[in-house]
Amino acid sequence: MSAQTALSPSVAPASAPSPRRHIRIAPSADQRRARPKTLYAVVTVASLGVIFAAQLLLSIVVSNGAYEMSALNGEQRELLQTEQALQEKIEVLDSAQNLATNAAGLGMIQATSPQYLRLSDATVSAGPTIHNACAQDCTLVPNELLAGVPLAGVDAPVADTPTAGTPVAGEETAPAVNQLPVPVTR
Amino acid sequence: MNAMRTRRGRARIGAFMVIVFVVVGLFVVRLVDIQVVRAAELNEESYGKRAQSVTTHGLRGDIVDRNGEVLADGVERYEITASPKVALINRDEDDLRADLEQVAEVTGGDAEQMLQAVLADPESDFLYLARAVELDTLRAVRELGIGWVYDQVVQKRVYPNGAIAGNLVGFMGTDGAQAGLEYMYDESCLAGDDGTVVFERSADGVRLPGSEIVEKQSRDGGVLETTLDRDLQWYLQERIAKAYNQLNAEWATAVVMRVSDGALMAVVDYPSVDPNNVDASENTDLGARSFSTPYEPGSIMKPITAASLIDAGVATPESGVVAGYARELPDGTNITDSYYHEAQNMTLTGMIVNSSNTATSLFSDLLPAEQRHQYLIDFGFGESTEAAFSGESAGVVLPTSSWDVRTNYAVQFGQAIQTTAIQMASAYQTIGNGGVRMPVHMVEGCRQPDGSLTEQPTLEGERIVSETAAAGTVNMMEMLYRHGTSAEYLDIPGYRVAAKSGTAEVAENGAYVNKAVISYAGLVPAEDPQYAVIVSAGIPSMILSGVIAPTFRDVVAQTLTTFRVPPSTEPVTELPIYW
Repeated sequence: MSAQTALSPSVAPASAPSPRRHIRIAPSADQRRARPKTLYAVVTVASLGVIFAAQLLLSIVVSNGAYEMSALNGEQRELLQTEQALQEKIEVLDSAQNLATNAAGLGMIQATSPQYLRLSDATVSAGPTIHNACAQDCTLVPNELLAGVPLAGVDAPVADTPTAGTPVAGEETAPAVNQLPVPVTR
Repeated sequence: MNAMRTRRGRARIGAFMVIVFVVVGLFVVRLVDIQVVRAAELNEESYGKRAQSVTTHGLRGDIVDRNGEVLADGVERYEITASPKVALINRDEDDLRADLEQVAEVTGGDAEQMLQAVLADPESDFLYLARAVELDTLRAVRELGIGWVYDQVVQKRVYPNGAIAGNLVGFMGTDGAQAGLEYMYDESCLAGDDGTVVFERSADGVRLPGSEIVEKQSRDGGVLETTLDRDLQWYLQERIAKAYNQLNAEWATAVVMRVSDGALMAVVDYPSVDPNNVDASENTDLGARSFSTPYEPGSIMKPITAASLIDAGVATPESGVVAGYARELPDGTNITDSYYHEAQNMTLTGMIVNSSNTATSLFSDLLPAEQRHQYLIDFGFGESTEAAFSGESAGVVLPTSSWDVRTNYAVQFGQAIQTTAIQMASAYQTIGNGGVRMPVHMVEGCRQPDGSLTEQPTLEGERIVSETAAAGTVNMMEMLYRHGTSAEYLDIPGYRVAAKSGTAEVAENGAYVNKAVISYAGLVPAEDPQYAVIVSAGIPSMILSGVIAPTFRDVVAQTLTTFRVPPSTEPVTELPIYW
């Protein structure tokens, strides 16, 4: 046996080595049918893409919302601060001294004889006569915060006050002497 | 070619895998170490490098009157700060100067001064550029957008109504509340609690928005609701100031108290302080004399004496004595009336109307000293009131053991005894309230941020004298209003008023001198008293209670109008002054 093998020459292939050919096993019709369609793959990949895109968009929208919220919060804080500052100014203007001075500046006089109307029998009775608290000057109770606050009725017509003294309308600087004039006729 | 097939190949792959696992393992260990084991420490370290802690302040509560008018207001102001350390990153002196000039233009400060301050300590992280600026200035500074300039909120107290109720509201100083309601209710009501907020700051000093973490929530203080009426207080302050000027007095005071519950509607002292401008007032004018400074009340004590006598059953408004101008006492001294008159058959009513000291002393003999002393104590003299106002005085009521012959009688007509205006108002409130004394109070309560009302006063009354005694005393005082010497100055047509005058001698260094405190005290409307009014002027130039009668009348008229008290409908019962 060995002699045979030794004697038999290595047989060269009958033909020269041919270029490699890409060989595929041709699928049969059954096999072809059984193969999954490319459409499914495309749909899957596409939907994956859509999901990622949607996720990205949602997260952008949420972040946007967060920015908007932050901006609105900031705006609210600012508005609250403005409100507080204005409230403070209102309270100073609401002080009794300022109201009295402005009233006098607008030509108002203090009511001196309040009347009571009894509804049960429609009788009118007189309240106490209010004597002028401060005939010439209502500045005995100071208010430091009113320094420099102009009178409201700067353009209001100057009243014809029966009592002596300069009317206060038209003053731009610190409120002048407050006049609560007394009516001449009683 | 198939490496897996040969043993050497497998060994190579195996070794490669081992190396990969080892390296990955090292990375995992490192990752776990950083993310898990040392996470807290590293977080803290990095946070510490960029975090900035800022105190948030709980707002101080307002003080308001019974109608919600604001007497004391907590407001925000802003401090403009800078960080020189941050400023000097990438900026030189000229850049800083340019920035500071912009800031100075807006805040009204001095740019050069600011620049010097910044350069003085380049390592510092904090420096004030402008203090306590208002909101417009803050916004203008923020708009400049300078990266190394920051701002902080700071609290300030303003008093929109100025000197109105300044004696009661008190004021703040550098160390906090100094006087008045601000001081008394500082901890229990007004002061808020501070919180802390931590910001994160980038390397170039910009505050990262949205990076605030509230470490501790701040809490606002409560609103102190008082029983005071701002408009009445203002009117009375103006009127008392006018009286002070006219009478040339050293001080003047007025108290209006509601009879039904002992609430104080107005407490006026003149001179008193404008809390916005404390430096403008003398030290002696910073508080409330009505609470803190007792004085010998004089004849306005007589109605209390009369009520005590009637309640003890030893006298009625018609009881009589024979009263002369002078009465000699066992120790040789005299009790005299204010004007000379012959001996008169005076009733208890006459004692009130004529304000006779001799008659008072004769009536006082009807009741032992111990009992009379007890009545004075029961009426609240010698003890601070329930209002517990800051600096309040208890007055002086000597024990009967210290009563000499003169004091024994003098206390019944308001000498040798010291009371405050508030104590006297409370005694009149008792008489007006059918003999039931209500606790003196100025505060309705503290309205907390959650809406609940705390610090409410307990309103329990105590009967001091009988209804008959109280009604009889009011009736007798009406006689003075109608028939007394100052009747024409007191007259308020259509209304029934009960009043008593007082001219009290003032003692200096143990002896009475030619000085007085003149007063008027009363109850309106007399048929069903709603308000007790006391008006006093200290050391006026004219020692005559009549000169303060117009002031009393105006105070009463304004009180009646403020609280819409309609005119009286029932006629008064006349009582005999002489028998």
